[in-house]
Amino acid sequence: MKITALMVLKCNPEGSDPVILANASDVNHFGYFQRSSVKEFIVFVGRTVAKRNPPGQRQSVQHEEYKVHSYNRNGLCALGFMDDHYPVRSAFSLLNQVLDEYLKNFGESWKTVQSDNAQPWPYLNEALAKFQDPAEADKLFKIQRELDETKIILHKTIDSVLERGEKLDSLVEKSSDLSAASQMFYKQAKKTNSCCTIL
Amino acid sequence: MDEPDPLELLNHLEGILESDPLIDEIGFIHPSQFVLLNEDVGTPSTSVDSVQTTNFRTLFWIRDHKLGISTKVLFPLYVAAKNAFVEAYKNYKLLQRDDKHASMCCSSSSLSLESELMKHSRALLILSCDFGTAWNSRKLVLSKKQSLSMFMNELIFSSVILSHSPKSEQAWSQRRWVIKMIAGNCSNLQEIMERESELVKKLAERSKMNYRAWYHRCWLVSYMSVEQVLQEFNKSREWAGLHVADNSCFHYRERLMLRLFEESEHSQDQDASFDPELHKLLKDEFNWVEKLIKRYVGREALWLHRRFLLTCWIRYFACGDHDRSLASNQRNIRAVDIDMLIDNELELFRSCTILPDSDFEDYQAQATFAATYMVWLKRVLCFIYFFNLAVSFELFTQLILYVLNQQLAGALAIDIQKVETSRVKSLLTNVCPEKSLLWNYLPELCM
Amino acid sequence: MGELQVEKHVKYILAVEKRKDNFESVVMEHLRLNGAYWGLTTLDILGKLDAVDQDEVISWVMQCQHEDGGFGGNIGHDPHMLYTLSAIQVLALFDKLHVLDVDKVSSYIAGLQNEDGSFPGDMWGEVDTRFSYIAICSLALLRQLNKIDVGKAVKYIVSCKNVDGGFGCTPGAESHAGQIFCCVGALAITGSLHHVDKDLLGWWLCERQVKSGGLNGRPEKLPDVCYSWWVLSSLIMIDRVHWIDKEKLAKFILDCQDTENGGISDRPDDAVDVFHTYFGVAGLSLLEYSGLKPIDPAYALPVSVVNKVILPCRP
Repeated sequence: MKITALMVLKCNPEGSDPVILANASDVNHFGYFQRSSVKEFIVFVGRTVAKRNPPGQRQSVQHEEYKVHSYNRNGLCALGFMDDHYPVRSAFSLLNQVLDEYLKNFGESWKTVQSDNAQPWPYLNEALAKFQDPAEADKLFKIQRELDETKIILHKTIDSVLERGEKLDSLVEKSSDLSAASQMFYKQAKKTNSCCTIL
Repeated sequence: MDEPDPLELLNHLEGILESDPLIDEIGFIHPSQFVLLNEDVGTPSTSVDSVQTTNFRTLFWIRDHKLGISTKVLFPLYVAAKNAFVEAYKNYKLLQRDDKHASMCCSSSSLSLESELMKHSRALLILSCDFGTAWNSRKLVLSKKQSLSMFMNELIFSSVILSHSPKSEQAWSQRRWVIKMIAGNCSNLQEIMERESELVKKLAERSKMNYRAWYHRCWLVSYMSVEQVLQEFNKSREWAGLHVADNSCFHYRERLMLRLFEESEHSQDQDASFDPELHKLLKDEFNWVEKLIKRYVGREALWLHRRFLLTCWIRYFACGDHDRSLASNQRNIRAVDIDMLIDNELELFRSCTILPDSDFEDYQAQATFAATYMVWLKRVLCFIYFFNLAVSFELFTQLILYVLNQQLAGALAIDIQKVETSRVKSLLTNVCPEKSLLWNYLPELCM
Repeated sequence: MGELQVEKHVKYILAVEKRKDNFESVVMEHLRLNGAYWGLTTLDILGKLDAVDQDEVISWVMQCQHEDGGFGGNIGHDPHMLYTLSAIQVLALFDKLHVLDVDKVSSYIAGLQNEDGSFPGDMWGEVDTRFSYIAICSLALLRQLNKIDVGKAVKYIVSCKNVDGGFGCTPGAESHAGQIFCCVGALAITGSLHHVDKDLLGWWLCERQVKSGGLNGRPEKLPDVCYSWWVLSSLIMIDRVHWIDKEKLAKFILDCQDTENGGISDRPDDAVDVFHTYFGVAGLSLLEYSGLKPIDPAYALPVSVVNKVILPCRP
């Protein structure tokens, strides 16, 4: 069970790339030299998924052993990068909470933000640590009723989130969020593991 | 920049490895990553400059005992390392043969050949972690030297390799070889066991459900003291509770439990099958895993763990005929015990097969696992019931077989009836139609 | 459903064999003999074994042999059971087992058996049921099973059986589909399948099929084409293959093809390699995909090869 990152983004109705308002990640379980690429990927995937999340909807996107959960509430979008086994219900409780906290802290100021914000938001970092145990998120659930009302759209791959004809591979190649090093990292991750050669 | 000379590259790498024995992580990095890494830490690294020309600054990166090697030089570096290793290994083997004839060892030439071989095999393994011949050459040198500090260094070296390739079978195997070599004459074996266990835990965080890593941790169990086994059992619980899909971790806990049962059986004065502490331990595990099953819907590993616990329970606490000294009221307690257990499991089955109208979790999977768990339960009960006089209850091959108390049989017959085959079957076909071929056969065969 | 891209896979395998100019290919050189076996067997199943230079392969294989009779993964590499089996299998493919000094190879293998019946992989001694399989399969192909204590070897394998019906690498080790193949294969070859609880093991193996149709090797793992071989061959040996959805599995394998450059990967859209190309093609052969030679689930060689090697000595 692991939450690797939590993010808050502003989705632009005209369809341009979403703007990052807050981003907290914990990449310590990755190798030292992979961490920067992982962080870049989080930004890239986060933007890609948020951009295609219609307002008022919840979606869960599977990517290998990870799941990206996102919830767009009137243009303000919260995302969580969890592993496959983090309970979905707990994940969305947490995203709800993150959005509530964000509005409480920053009001409507996000509507005018035009560029990514690199400033840390302490609450998000604390939440990232605290909710590693889904039992903590379940405590939130008890006071949230709204959660039951909207259905979740489930996607088995990132490709299925994309518009027809778009492929993750080509988005990776084009992305300005990804350095050459991260592109290499992406390709290496597709290499099959040699542990299958047990004989 | 000119293409660097492969031999110089190798010398440089070996120089770094020599100058920093505390390197704990390696990585192959894209040439463009150097800029980023240097930005991250402020000023560029200087320690390398003193060893070699600044050219290498864009090929090797070292700081805080992390070593990065540019993917640009991997190929020439590998070729150079391999050639150097092959040459050193050949010379070493020749000398060993000569030494045998001349019955002289420890000559200065043999010493320098040894260190050459260790140096080149190290560089080669960093580049190609499963190059078995290189690992073998190190075992050859180590077994000749029999130096405790060299053995300990080998453990460190193997963990460096694992930092980069956590699935390297050879690196794991080398650790076990080293531990076997030092187990007899090493005063802090328990401490080493603890460190090994920690290493697996750390790597398991990075490399999920890694069979080789968990196999290693299970292998350690036979070297642990009973106190340590108990400690490991308590310590691994929190981790398992946050990694509920990791079947290997639960298998590790099962291994620890079996060791505790074994120990209890071997202790002479006790009635092993009714060790109250073990009884409590098993009961706690039962309750805990039930809590996890309800919180984490549809997790196969949890249900499988419960199958194990159930089998254990019946195996250890629902029998007693072998021990005639046992008071009959105690036997009755067990009959009541198993009855309660079955009722509890049936209740769990009922609660986990309710399908709420919600997308949040995979309730279909949960119901499937609950139903197959019932199939398992019935199978175990039938086995005991039908074979109760001469139990060929071949569940744990390493443990002594028990004969079941006649008294329980009647209660069991009733319990078996409680699990209705047809209901389980139609449920399975309903919640997991993609496995209908299996459901056609399974429930009848096992019941 | 896409078709099997036979021509492209043949081209891919032949090309992989030749590449030695980049890091990714040279770091695999220590198990080249192993790779050769997987690649060549795939070619044979596809009916294209004549695309390789037989003499060249055989002369190279023989250069991997050591004085003690064992084979290394490549020229100059230490001998190991893994590569000794690969060498025997490659020679069997070409019907060239007679170039071997049978006595020497079988003595190497038999000499490794431990008192408890188990086998280590080499002189350094780590025991694993994989090596039990290798010893039994190799010696059966050489018709030298009498050189080891088969009873004890079987007993050791049976001692690795778990409560779930599966097998691990040593007694008490977690069940793993690859290890199950080895144990079931060894028991099948020695006629000892009565030691397997077929219903229970069949159940466990069928539970490996996930929603996409692919198979995984352990609970909660992602599917991987390699288990189309390890799981499927085991199911066939214990006669329970009708418990899984074969059509969906075939589709999963075909979805893992690189339809442009050939080769098969572990999962759709991943990078291909020669091992998974074998696992995919052999899996399809077990599923009786049209146009493929049938493969023997225990020996992991085409049935025609096994018949040539084994049958003549059967009473």
